[in-house]
Amino acid sequence: MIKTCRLFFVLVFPLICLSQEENLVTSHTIPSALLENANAVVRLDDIHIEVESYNKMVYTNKRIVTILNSSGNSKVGTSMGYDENVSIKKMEAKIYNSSGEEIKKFKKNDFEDVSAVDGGTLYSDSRVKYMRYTPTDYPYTVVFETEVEYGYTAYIPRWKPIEGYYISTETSRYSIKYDPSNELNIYKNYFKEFNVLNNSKDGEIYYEAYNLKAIMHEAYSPNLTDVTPYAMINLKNFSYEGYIGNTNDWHSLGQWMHEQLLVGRTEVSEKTKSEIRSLVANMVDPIDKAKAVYQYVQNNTRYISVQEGIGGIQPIDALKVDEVKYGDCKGLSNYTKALLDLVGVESYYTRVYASPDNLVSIKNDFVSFLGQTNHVILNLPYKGENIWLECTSQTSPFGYSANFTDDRDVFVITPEGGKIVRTKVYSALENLLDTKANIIVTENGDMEAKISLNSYGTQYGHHVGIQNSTLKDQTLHYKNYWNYINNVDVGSMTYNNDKDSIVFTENIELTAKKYASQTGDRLLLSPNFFNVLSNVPTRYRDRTLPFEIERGFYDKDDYEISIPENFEVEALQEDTHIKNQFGEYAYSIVKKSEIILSFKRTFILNKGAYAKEDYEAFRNFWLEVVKQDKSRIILIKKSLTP
Amino acid sequence: MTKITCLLIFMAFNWSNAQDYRFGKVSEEELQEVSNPTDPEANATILYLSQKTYYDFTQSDGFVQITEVYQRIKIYNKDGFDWATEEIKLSDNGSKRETVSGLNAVTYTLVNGKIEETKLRKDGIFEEHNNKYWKTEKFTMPNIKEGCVIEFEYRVTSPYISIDDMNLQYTIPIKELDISVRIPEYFNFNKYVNPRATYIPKVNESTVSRTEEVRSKSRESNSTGFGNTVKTNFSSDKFNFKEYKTEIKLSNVPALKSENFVSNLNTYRTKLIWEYAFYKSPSGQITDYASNWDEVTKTIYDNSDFGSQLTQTNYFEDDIDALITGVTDDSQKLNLIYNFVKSKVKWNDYLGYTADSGVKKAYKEGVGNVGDINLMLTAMLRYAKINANPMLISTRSNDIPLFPATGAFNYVVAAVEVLNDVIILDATDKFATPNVLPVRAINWQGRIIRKAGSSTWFDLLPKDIVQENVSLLATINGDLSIDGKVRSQLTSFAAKNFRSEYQNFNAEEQLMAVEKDKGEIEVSNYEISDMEALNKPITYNYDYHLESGIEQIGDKLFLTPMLFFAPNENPFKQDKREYPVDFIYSFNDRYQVIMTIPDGYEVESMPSNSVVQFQGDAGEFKYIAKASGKSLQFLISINLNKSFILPGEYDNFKQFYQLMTEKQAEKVVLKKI
Repeated sequence: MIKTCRLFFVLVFPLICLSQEENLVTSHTIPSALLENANAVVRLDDIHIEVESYNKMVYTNKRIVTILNSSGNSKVGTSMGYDENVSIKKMEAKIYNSSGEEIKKFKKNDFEDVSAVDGGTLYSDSRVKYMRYTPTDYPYTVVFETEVEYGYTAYIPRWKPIEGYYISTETSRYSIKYDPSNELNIYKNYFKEFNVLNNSKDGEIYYEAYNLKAIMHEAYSPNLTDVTPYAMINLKNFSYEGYIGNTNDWHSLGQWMHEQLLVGRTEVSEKTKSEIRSLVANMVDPIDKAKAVYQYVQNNTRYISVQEGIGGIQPIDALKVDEVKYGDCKGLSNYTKALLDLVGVESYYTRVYASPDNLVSIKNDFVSFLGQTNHVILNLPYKGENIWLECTSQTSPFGYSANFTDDRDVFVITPEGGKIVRTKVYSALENLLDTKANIIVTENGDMEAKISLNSYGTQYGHHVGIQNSTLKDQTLHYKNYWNYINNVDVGSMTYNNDKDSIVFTENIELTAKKYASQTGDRLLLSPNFFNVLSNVPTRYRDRTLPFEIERGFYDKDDYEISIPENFEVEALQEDTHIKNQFGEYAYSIVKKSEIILSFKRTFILNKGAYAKEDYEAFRNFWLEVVKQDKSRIILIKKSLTP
Repeated sequence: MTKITCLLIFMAFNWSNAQDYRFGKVSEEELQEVSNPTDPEANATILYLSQKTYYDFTQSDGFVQITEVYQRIKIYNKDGFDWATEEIKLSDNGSKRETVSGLNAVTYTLVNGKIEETKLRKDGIFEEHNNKYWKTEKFTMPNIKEGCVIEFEYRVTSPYISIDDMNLQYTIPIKELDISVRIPEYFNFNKYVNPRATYIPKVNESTVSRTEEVRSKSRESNSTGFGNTVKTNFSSDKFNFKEYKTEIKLSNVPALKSENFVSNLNTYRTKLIWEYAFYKSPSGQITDYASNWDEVTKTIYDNSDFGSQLTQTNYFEDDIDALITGVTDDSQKLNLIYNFVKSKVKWNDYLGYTADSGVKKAYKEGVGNVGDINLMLTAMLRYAKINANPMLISTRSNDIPLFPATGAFNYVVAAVEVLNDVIILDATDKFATPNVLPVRAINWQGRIIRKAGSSTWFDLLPKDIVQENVSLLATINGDLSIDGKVRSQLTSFAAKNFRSEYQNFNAEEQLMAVEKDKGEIEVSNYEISDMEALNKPITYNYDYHLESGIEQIGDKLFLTPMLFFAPNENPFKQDKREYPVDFIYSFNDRYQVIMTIPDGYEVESMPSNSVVQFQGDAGEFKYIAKASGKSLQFLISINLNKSFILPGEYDNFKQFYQLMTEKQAEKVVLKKI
């Protein structure tokens, strides 16, 4: 029964295809549900990949997309990257107006051809061809057809039927033909939830999805690929730039990478060797040695990114880095490893997906050579713990990985084999900002304060940069940091960057006129002088996505406030203490003496992943804190008559 | 004899003190320097910059432009490492290719008191083909460390006669700068120093003579009794000509410092700008490019991509006839044609005052650059007997056109001269309206180019005062939440900005946009009128419920009359400014607030009435408060009639904003009866 169905399907398919295509280039045929929240609609995206041999595959794509308005232009998807090993055989596009009449045509040579060097890279051999088109009216529909030949099979383009936010998909199809004797690794996610059709069989992958609605962007959302259909596929036996490897498991892949791409690239000059040896001559502790080497690399090299051919994957020789004193993440990590080898400290080349905003892990159950990482760091195992070294920074403290490579699964390559390891998790309590202040309030409401901020963990990374700015920018920074205080005059600013314990200290002296507002005989002032939470999370009438707090933090404030002698306290707030799954908040203001008040505040935000239903409670917690943070106390002039 | 010795000694003495700026002569002192003595915050310093531009003569190619660059740069710290990478942008367009040769570069470091040299090798040099017009030659220096000095020299050969702008200032200081330009008398340039730069250099000019040899070849054939013989004569002629020499020698050029609220720092950079004005052939014949405003005008008009674009009418006649048939009122015609062009031809993001595709093609395809679109608009208006002329503009990303030069402009709009006024139209922006141009085009002044060939400046500073009127109703409930209504009207630029922000929003996104930064608010019944009627103001209104707009301390209530419209901070925090603050347009914001207080409360204190001014009536802030029973009324208005604040006025202006911010944050105090 099933067989007949399929046969029928195959027979009629060409006919349907014809009439369908006519249908798809007009915009009034879009199902109304797909217009909701959409700036563009993918009418059809048909990807077919034919793996012809271990080192050749052909990618063909037909894509029909209707752009509904000017915000949808960026979703057109009419570009294709290429380089020495990727050649574009066919590339053409036709544009149709809303009633389906063809209005423009692009042949292969009509596409712009530019180098694809991004901002952080000095040179790369990648290029991109893209369509430059000015829409004359909306909606319009683009039919884009490509055929691309890959001279490798290490990376197979992925399937992401919901391409992004504000774009819906009518039909998305993804198929791969391969030799069944060369098996696949398959990762697929959220197929059931979105009714994805899976008609794969031996030698063929076939996925199809229909009528996927557009998703609106919402704050604190996880990565789209973690909540919508997504497929990654690999050949177990692959080729890349003349190398042949296999992705049976992480262990053997690591071993292979070590032997093929890393080994024998850690020689350095005699001069450097003797420098390093004398540097650690009196050291015994391996960590001391590692720190000295790390410092040496920071002082002697800098980050320059050049990506050419296999150089996109393989580190340049340590000897080369030794000579020019620069390299990219691969080159600098390998160089650092070379120097650590010299002093007998073991370290491992580690591939990671680095990102400040989203914690992206390598999928443990999907072994791949390419496409899951964008950066290299070093892993230094020590007494059962792992230290992670970022070798592209000239300033980062030893072992500091917050805000970039922390808390994610990475691929550690050792001579014995590869393995997936979790990087350091910076817990909420580690990410401390400890603010202390001594404040004097005068009778006309002015204030004068000495503040010290000690930042740790992720917060260290947010604060430490200020010390290198110009004096003018530092002053401006503190005025913006405390932007809710008007009339700030910043006096002295001194810093201490303790790289050993990874603490950054800022000592600030400032004054502000009329901090407390005067009404009659009273002074109103907020005792939370220096750490006011604002920016209430956006309200969603009907949140659709779950949310997550990727890194927690801990703010601790402790101020001593001197009030003018001729004033006394009229009203203080009661202590507040809130604790829930999202975190903890405590606020207290007490009288220590007639003229001294003590203010204490704690705000802890936990790391966590939550269901969309919890969002309102999360927002309410936040609102509660915002409100309490702004609240004020009243001081009243002492009456002259007793 | 004695004299000569003295002189020699003096020279030698002098030599030992002065830095030697020949390639390779980096001194220990330079390597030991830890910071720039005049600018200790600088991360790097250009110790020496030399640029020589001249025209080589060769038999085969004639005059070829050569630019020799040599720089010596000191890098003090890690933040200065970017200066160890140099990028040279080169034209790579068909047969007109610029090339780099003679690249030589060395890094110097001080190791145990000895100077070590590391040469740049081939593997540090990269050539990026950006697209079919440009390529970039890049190199990055080896062995860069804090405190090192780098040197590089190279030569660019260009088939072009025109000379690129020469930067005389960078974001790091320059100790010594030495620029020399020699131009054969045949090529005549206008040159000027960016007048908005704060650092003004001295420019020396002189004339020198030069001799070149031209070999010519002629053939004679003689018929003799022995048949034809061909004789080739080689002759060599010397020709003498003058060269104009420009020299700039500067010491201690300050760094170009960046600042907030500056859209394009380049506007303030000290640089020498060259405009190719005319060619004078050896026989004295002159080909004009640009030399004075009339010439510029003429040159532009004679350009087939400009002048003739204005005279073609056949392609649109039928459509325009149909559009304006029966319409007699000029302003009605103008609006019809303006809207017609906007809907008919879309802008492809390319600038330029000349037509790219040509008006006809642009009209047919519905796509064009700025020149295509606005020259077409001008032609159509003229066809409808409206006195329209093109107006040349330099965009904000370009420079300020103060001197006669065709290259000073990169944009064109249509200008209609009516009695004592000019109406400016730009059809490249969907939401632009007469005299409300896209911000990119509002830059200083534009040059109107009339049919008869005369031309005149026109100030582009918008004259309209942009109105934003808000009426805010607020009723305080017993539970201290607030319910109310907002009604608002936006004109001109404010309406334009609103339209472009909201154009693709659905209902949900509209609500999110209006609720943003308003605290614990819930908005309903949000209605926006006249999104499409561009000639009308935008009007919107909504109902709101505000959960926590009131602060309760003891038995007293505190609230800001403007609620969520009150600014939280003064945006001007710097104490001093280097460059002007540009608001683009003048504005008048008015808030009318009517507030009803809850039962059981009465007013304890109201903010006082006040007026704050900036430079007379250049800026005026008014605050009027009135209480009558349970109803409180406030009228708050901000008038800024001056949209361009100079650094010298900044201090007063900042204070004006400060007082205004504080006043808007003042609270009404209610107490329990």
